[in-house]
Amino acid sequence: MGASRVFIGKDLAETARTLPSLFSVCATAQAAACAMAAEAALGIHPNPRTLAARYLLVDVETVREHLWRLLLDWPRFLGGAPDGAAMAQVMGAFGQFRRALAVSGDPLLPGATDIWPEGAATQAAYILQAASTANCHEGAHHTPEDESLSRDFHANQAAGSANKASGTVTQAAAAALTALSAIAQRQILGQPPGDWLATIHTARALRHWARTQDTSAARLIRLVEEEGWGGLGRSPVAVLPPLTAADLNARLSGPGAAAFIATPLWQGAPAETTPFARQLGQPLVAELARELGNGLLPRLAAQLVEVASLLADLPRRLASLSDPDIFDIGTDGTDSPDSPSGSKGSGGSGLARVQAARGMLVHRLTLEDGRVADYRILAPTEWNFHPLGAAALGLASLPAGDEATLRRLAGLFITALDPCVAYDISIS
Amino acid sequence: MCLAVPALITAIDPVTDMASVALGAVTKEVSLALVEGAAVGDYVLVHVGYALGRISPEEAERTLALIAAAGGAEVDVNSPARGVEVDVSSPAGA
Repeated sequence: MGASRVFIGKDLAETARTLPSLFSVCATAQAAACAMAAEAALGIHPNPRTLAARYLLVDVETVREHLWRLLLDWPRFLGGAPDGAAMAQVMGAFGQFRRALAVSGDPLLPGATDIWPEGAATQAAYILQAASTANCHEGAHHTPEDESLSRDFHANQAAGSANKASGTVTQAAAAALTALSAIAQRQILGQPPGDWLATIHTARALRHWARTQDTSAARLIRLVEEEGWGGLGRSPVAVLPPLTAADLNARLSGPGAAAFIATPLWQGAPAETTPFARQLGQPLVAELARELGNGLLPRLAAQLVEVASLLADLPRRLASLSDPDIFDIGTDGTDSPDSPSGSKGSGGSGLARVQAARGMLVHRLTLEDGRVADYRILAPTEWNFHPLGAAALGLASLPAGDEATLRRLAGLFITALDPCVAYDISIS
Repeated sequence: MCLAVPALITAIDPVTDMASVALGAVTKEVSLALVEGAAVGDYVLVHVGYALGRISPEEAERTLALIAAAGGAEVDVNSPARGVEVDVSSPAGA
């Protein structure tokens, strides 16, 4: 798609400000990719804390998007009503988290400096305290360093009302994570995300969980099992291998770029970049994939696993923003930012990759005199819904049947692949 | 790509928590379940049948201009952005 061409000729500041409004469903991932591609083009090394904050925000957005599927879409396939009330709380918690991390400057803007340029230690101590509070009922262990920072927190608490006010704001970030975990526990998993992850690590455990819990998520897994739909939509489409910035730069520039962006292939074949692809290394998803390939049940399980593992780990990552030597910048080493010297092309081009909710999102832009001379976006949906890709082949493989059943199965399979656009099913 | 479209609320049914929204000349019914305190005359971002959040008239105008420049057909919420064809007559695995 060429929607990003509207930014050509605009200055970088305006582009960075308006781009998230255009792509507002995954605005955080889009803004982060824009900022990092621009920084790569300008030869700017982003501040590590800012970078960590970006990855944190993108992953909280991923949780929000997965919860949308689980709370609003999954119940429809059981004949139930979408849980709008819980999803409204999710949206509220996401907004609270987003505002809290932007309290001293928006980390999603290109060239953002340290998000807490002054009094960082104080701010960090507040975060640690808040995150520890958020984590306590999940049985988190605290290190001596935590204790020391916690003491600093208490010392700093007395320091002044200004710090206290900002501390309240950052505590809001931890409170938002706690709220998201509570919703996942109550409405989806039936237990805290970390506990679910530790318990449900085999196909047998998942099946037992599905039979004994009464959430929509558990009932949908149960239905898929009972109907024998676990391998539905299975296709030979491979998972997209980790691509280097050079690989992507080569394909996103030059005469073939537009065709590649519209219908990307890797080494002549379609590939998928999805939560299933990301979670294939996780024991439950790996076991299900051995049994059912990239069929429906492994895909649904991957969404559950991704929600649970992000929610279990996010408080620690929020707390790690306090680390003065912060280097832990993401959940997946393959997507650490491309260093300016590594990906900066001639004429001020930069490329960035972000693991967005639906898969790998790539931005590549060229700046000339502070204005956008070229802007290309490769979205995960283009891989996953390629005419020869996982969605197309999966749908073509659905068993023949009456129209209503086929429509239901196609809807379920498409929801599991999660396009970021509205879709319509026409049966011919 | 991941687009949500600004639309103007023209009527609200408090019983069903649904709103009629105007997208240019087109009227559409959307759920207000995810938005707090939306009122007739507000602009909201609309995505797959839900209002996602309120935005100012200025931001709505700016975003609509961007969407128009990007090619309005791609984001016409009344026509599916992506049609999926399933052939029931073909055997499984075809």
